[in-house]
Amino acid sequence: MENFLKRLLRLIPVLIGISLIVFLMINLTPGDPVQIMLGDQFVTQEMEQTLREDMGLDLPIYQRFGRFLYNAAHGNFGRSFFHRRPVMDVILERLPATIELTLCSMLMAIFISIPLGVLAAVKKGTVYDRSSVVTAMIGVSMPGFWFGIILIILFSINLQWLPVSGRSTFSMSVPSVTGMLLIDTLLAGEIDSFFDAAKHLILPTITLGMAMGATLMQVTRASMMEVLKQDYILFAEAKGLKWFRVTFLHALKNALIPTITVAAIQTGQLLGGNMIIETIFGWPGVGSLVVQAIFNRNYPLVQAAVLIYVLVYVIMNFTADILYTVFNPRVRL
Amino acid sequence: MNHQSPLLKINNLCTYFDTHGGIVKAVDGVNIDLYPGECLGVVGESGSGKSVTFTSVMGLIKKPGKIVSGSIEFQGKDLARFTQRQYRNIRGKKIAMTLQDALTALNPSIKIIDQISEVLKEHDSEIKSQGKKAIKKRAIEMMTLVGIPDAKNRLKDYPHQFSGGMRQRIMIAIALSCKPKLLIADEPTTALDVTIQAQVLNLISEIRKELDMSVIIITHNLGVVSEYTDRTVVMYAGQIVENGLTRDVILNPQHPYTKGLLKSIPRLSDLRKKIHPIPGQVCDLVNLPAQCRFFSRCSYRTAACKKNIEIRKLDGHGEVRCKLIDE
Repeated sequence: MENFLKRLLRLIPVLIGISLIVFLMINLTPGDPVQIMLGDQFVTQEMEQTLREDMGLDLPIYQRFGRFLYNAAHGNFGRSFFHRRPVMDVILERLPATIELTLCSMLMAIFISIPLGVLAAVKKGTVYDRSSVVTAMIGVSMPGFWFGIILIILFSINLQWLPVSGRSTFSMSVPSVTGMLLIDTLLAGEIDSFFDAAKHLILPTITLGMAMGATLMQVTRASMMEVLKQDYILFAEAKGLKWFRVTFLHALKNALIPTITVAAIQTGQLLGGNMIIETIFGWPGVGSLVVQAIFNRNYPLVQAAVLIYVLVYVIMNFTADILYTVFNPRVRL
Repeated sequence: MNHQSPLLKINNLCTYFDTHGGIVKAVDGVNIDLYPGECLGVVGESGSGKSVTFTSVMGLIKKPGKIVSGSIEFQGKDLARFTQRQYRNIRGKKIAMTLQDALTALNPSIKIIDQISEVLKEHDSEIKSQGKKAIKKRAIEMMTLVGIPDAKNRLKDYPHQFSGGMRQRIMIAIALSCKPKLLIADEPTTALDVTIQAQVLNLISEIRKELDMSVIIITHNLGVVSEYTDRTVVMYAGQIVENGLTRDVILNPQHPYTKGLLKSIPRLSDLRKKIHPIPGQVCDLVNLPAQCRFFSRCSYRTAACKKNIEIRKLDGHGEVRCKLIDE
């Protein structure tokens, strides 16, 4: 617990540093939000000036940063230029879609890659092992945008089995409890809507899960091979235990330690929203929102989103550390 | 000499490893008889094949290793022909094995209680049917038997929370929990402090008498052998070079290698006397020359040694693989 507090305190300078970098980067990027907003409309100089003052963009950059920090420390991240609403509201509205996609991809990656990685290590050098290593290599090196588009062409356009994009075909009338459609539709008892939401999830989940799963499989296989060489595996076998228990308890419990770390980091990255995948599949998550915000020079939204990324990242790392102690009693927090 | 039928009879066992560099003949024609209740010491330096021999007995030789020929008769059944499934009824139940370093042999992320009770659950259907409490009680009994103080409160501890000697005791407790007929102790003292070594060996001999089991102690320490074993087998380069009652082997060694081993032990009683290490290294197990395998290191070698040497019975109980001993 004491350690946890220390970690939280250490987070403060990190957050300030990252805010500064992001603030500078987005503000120094060419492009003026006021100009973008006005577009082709005819406005007088005064009107433009009023708008600029209204958005707080007339101040020098260091004052703007100071103001941003002050407001952020008070939980106020400003209003989205584009949506004309507080940025946190906009982000939180989009977050459940991202979380839903991340969880599905993560679960798919974990449940497929860990058993496959274990088997590859156990059957080291066989055809099975080699083919799974090659598959994993393809999975890791295949760009997500390309794989996603291939899936869309194959399953949505040619076979017409699955929808092309979005989260649902018709606008859902189910009450939003968690914001995650799979859960909300089940809670409302609307089975048709549930399957509709599930169908929309399949392709983006496969696209994301493939890349994650391929990495996880490689990590699991490598650490499993290392563990299988250990004396305690020989001793477990000398005890006359069943193959399954030796492999999936004695070996895997130790081999999962690196896998957990990688999985947690991946999840942390994904919870920020995968911009490319969300854009391809028209997934209304945080990732596609931030992409839009960057194009619109929607400074407050980008800044707030990045801060959330950092927080999520740290939380996931912390979760990984806790899981660590479960699997590795030699590490005490 | 014992007139019972042997508990374990290893007959002309050959275990080879098919590596890139050629076939490594790690164990090449080993014969060992072990009688019920007997304690056998197996001595030899690293690479002499002593561990591989008994890993073969446990059926745990991994690829690229393979038992090429020979039989391992245990209670009249040939283990070398057993399937893995049949073997599970032997390992941990009738033949148990402890490894050199308990720190690496105990699973670091599983509680001690679980590591003991899983053997009981696997092999002892009687105690399993009595439920969790009986298993736990038995685990505490075993830990107390091997001398873990305050065993009841340490069940939920992990291996790293115990000292080296305690870990070795726990490993012995696990190995003995199903009251096996045979315990194979692979280098039981190598990883321990000298003071703890004697404790662990005494523990093994006590339990051996209590459970009436046979024990095989694999070691490179002749001191251990001389004090705790009835009979000694000396291995060199995958073969047995000398086999006899421990007393004979230690006091009156026949094979030049055994003599060399005895000379290379430092003695406190005679500090001025230099120790005599055996020069050279174990021969290459891939390209074995058709001559005595100890030839290049032997200080007694003659032209007669330049051919394959068979093991021969001596007048007493022993056997030796050397041309120079009078026929």
